Amino acid sequence: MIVGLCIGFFIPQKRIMGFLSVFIGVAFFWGCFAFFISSANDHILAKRVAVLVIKKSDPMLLVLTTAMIGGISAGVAAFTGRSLAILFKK
Amino acid sequence: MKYVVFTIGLLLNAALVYVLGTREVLPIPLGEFLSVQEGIWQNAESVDHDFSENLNLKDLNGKVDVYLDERLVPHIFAEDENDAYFVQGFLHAKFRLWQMEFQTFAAAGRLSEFVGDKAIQFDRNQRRMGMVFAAENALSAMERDDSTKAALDAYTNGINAYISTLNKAELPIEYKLLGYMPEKWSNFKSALFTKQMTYTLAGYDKDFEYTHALKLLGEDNFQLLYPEIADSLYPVIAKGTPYSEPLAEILPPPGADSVYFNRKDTIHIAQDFKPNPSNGSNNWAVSGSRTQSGKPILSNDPHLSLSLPSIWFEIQLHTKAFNSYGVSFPGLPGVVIGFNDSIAFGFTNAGRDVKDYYEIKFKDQSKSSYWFNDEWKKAEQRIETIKVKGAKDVLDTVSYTLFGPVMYDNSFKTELTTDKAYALRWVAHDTSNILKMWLLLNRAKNYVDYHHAIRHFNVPGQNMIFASHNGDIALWQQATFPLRWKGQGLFVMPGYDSSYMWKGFIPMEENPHSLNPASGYVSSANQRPADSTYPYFIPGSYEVYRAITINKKLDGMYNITPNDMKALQNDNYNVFAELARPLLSKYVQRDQLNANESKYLQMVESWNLHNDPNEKGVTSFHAWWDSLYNNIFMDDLHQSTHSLVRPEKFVLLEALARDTAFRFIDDRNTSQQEDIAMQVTSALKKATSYLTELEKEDKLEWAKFKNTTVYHLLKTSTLPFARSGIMNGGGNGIVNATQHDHGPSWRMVIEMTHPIHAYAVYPGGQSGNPGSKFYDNFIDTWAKGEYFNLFYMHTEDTNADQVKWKMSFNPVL
Repeated sequence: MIVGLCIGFFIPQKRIMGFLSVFIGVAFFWGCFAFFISSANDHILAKRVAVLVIKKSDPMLLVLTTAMIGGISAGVAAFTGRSLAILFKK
Repeated sequence: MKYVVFTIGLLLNAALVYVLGTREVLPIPLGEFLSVQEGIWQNAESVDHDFSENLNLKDLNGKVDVYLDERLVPHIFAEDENDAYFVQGFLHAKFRLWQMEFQTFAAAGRLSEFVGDKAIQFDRNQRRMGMVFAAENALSAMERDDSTKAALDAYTNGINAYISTLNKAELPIEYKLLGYMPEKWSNFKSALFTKQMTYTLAGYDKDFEYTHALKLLGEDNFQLLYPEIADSLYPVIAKGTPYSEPLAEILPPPGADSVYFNRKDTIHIAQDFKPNPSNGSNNWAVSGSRTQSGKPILSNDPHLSLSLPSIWFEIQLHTKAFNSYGVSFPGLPGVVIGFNDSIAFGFTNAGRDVKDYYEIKFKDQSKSSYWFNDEWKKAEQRIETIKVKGAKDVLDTVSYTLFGPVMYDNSFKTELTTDKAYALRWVAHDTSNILKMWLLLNRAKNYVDYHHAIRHFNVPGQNMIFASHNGDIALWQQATFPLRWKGQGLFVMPGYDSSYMWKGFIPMEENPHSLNPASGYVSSANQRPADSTYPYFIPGSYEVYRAITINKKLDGMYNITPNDMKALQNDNYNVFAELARPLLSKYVQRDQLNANESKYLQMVESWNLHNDPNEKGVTSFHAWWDSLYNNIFMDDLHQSTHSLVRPEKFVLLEALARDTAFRFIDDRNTSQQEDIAMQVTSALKKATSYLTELEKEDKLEWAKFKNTTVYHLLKTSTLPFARSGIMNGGGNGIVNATQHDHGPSWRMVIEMTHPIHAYAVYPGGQSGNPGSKFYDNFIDTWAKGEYFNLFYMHTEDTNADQVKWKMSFNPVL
């Protein structure tokens, strides 16, 4: 979230683009990372944890959920950061 | 406008932090939990994970090499045995830290700290039972002995060395789930662990239930329903074994007849927590005279709740002083059940009663004084502080008397009159150093060493089995058992003076034992240790049927090989059914049955008496028998709302076999006078509707009905971490004692040849991490009744194929 906030604050762009760019970036990074880790693990853990979190033993859905959570958290932070920066613009 | 947008963004951020970062909305903070850097993804161990590493640690005296084999069993090679215990601690923590903490927190009555207020009753129960008090006493004894203190210190240091390497990402998943951090380990926690084990094995009591039953049913009926000795008993020590006369006759105090055996008032105690009465085991050792190799074979399978992480951790300790292999308890140093190059040792639960309650009269509500030997005696009061997650601390004051802690009084779950209270006298509270036994057993070379080692063990009573390479086999039922007059301790006793206190303890040499008997084998399966000629009163909770099967089979076995012993451990024969079925067949009124009922009758009668996975006869038989049992007893036992302990199944079987006019047959709630034929038939009819439903759900086959499941320690909260649907056979009273979630937690067969042939398996895995492939990888082998060949390593084996990884521990000055 902190990273998202900073990117949003310091990089000039439209607020909605701030959200989108960070969202896509983080979601992609988290998604890939989780996917690679899970594959190396033969999805043993993801199958179990998926039932706990999303009630279905679907490892890919868990990876997707992870990507979304990461992306949205960071993206909203970026949006807020951008909005804050814009407050200071004359 | 831009202010509005900014505010919206800020609010959205706050909402996300609230929802994903706290436990207020969702049960788990998903932001952290699913974080790729710190969340569960960091627990997803690669299937190709390399366990080799070099570690530089202080508190080590010398270098230690650990060879991990393909089943992740560590073979620890250390010169100094304390270094071995250090590394054992480190590895126990590395693979099972959460389990060790969880079990000792439960022992100490500290579950509320991370579970919240729903654990308060449990925690109070543990404190009031004196678990912490008992652990303090055990700790002082263990630390007074140089060798056990050194072992514990090293073990604790090893655990803490591991904990200090942990960062947030590497925390076991359960910490992330529940939201707390591990504490440092201490010798005290190991002492707590020994008491938790003691509670599991010697914590079962029936004093209140029996007291109530006596009042409700009267002396004659009480004896009928709760007899001391079963007709079909096959005792641990063979019938006909001579016993020496006791030193003195032990008599009850004057007035016992009215005050104790015929008390006028009632006691209302509801005990919420009890250990599983099925906790027990099998063991047997056959001498060289009966084996093909000419050397003894020792077998042991302890029966406990099946759980993940497993209660056991397989390990080898190779030091200058000894080379032991077997299973260890994460929480204690040493090998607990196993062997070394000269001997093998194992345990079954004795089931002896070492726990009694005494009625206490307090002077007033402060509970600071109690009446004892004609005066008001000052009680020591302990204030137990129970920390509760998300709430205020709960304070509980417990008064300690000469007997022990006053566990039940008007502040802890009863509806009795205000001045009645019950103190607990439990051998577990007495000071002793049971760890010393294991340190000595690990290095024992012969019978004398074994006999010397077991003398340090006072509780929980165990049938300790032994076999040595030089040909000896032996079994001792060892613990300090109270000296009781006949009937003492079955019921709650008056605690107003010393007259009902235990007169002492049975001298250790007089504990039931056997060394190289003529029969050529020793065995135990939680049955009564001796027949009625044993000169002491020895109440307890005993099983009857496994011993019958084991003894009958061993009687006829010669040229025995390890495979024969494995087959016996997995034997599914139902000797109880063999004895009970003829009764059912004889009395059922066949002309009164409809087609469906006849169908199930057929299933029972054509069943092969083996509790095999596909058999429908097992389920049908059990449903019928249980239904008959309920028909006969429930009307009588439900006369009162208070808890009564159910009579053992042998009681009904033997009563019916002896006397078909058994007085309990009649249902007191009906005006009709039932006889045995009516009850047996009615039982089958009731069972039929139940069995028909089961058949519709495809749950009639025994394995499907039993649905053996190995639960995670957090039970229903973490069902995805459990393994269910294990399709094996077995059952209660069967040598293969597998029930729904309870059964052989370790199966071991050791042939004392040179080299030793060792076979074993347990239903779990070495790693406690649900994300590891080593979490539950042994379960399938165990379910099939198969075993692994144990790799008993020697120094020349360091390049063997079985060695997969090496951890080097280097001392840092």
